[in-house]
Amino acid sequence: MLEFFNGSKDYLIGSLVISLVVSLIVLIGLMSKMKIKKQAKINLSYMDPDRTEARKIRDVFLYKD
Amino acid sequence: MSDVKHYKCTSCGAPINFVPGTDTLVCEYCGASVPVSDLLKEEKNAKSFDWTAYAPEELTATPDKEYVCASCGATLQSFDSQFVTYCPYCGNNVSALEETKGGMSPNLIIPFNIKKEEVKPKIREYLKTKKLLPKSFLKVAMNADVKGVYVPFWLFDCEAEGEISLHGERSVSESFTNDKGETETREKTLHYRLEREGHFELNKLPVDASTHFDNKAMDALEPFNYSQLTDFSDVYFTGYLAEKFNSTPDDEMQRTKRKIQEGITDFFRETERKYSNIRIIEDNTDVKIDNIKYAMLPVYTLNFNYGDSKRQLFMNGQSGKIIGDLPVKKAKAFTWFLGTFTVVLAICSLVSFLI
Repeated sequence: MLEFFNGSKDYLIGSLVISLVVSLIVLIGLMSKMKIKKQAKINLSYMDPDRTEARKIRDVFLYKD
Repeated sequence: MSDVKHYKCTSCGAPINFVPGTDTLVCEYCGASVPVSDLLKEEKNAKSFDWTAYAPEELTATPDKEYVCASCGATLQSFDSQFVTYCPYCGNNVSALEETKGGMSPNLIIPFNIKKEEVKPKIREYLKTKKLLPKSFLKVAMNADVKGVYVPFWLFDCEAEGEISLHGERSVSESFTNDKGETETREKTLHYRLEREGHFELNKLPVDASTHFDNKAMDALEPFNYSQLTDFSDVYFTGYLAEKFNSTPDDEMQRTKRKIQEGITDFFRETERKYSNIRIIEDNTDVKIDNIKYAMLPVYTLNFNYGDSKRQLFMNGQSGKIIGDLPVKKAKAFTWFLGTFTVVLAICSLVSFLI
């Protein structure tokens, strides 16, 4: 099988990983379409923009990771 | 027993039904049509729900009642979950006004916009786009009965005011020297507590008022176009079923507050563009309800058994949006996974060959 990847073990492993990740993403995407999901940001549409406002008090740094 | 009012064709006496997407009722036997406006002039208005006179102890389901159909004389039973809308014996439409006395008439209604005969073709097209669906499910769904139901909703006008704390993240690139003495960069995430104060107003936030419909499903059917919201008249009920509320505004308060919080979170996600993954960590806003309207919103339902489980599909009767929890055929899921894996692997092989 290595000959399909230019004889390189790194290319083979990398290709397998990429294929696995892409396949899982596609499968998860297809499965998510089978469930009831609420449209994102729908509750924002009920907000009256002329009578809604927010003011900043402060931003506090918590931690880094 | 109570008498009920009927809507029937003045030409032949048969039932007349509201035609979705129009302002007319049509006789299904002789084809005669009547504008909705003509019937609105005739009806007596029952006392509508009034939020300013809201007394929770009065908001209980109306007791079971018996009515007499003026067309065929059959006894009709009103159950506490549904308005009587038609006689199951002769098919004549009956008025629900008798059941809306005591200030329980809905205030508003969005009439059906999608005709009943359009529902199954739209559902077929929708199910065909679901790649993992078993073929047999489509067959079973197409044999199910379509029911047009007006679902009761509370529409909240509310405001939230006060302080709110949110969690937000920012990504930064950081340079460092590795063990070999080379300079590398890595991504780091900075976490912040964002303290804000604000005034938020929401208009006609919909919360379904019936425990017979799954809350998640009714939320997912949104949005409804409120430009078509009109004063309630039971004329729009003709040809359809209608559920009464069995969950009061107080019962739905927790869910309403959750929806307000979701709205506020989305507001900050839109306005605080510097930060990602925004979520509320502390909410000290006071929620004040300004007004609540009792509205009937149109929904088509398909209920059927598939295998061992009961399945439901819902369609927004105004916009045509379809939702439902669908089964996954494992063989199709595996085929898609394997097929995608093979194709991507082949592409990677080609790329590595060309390098």
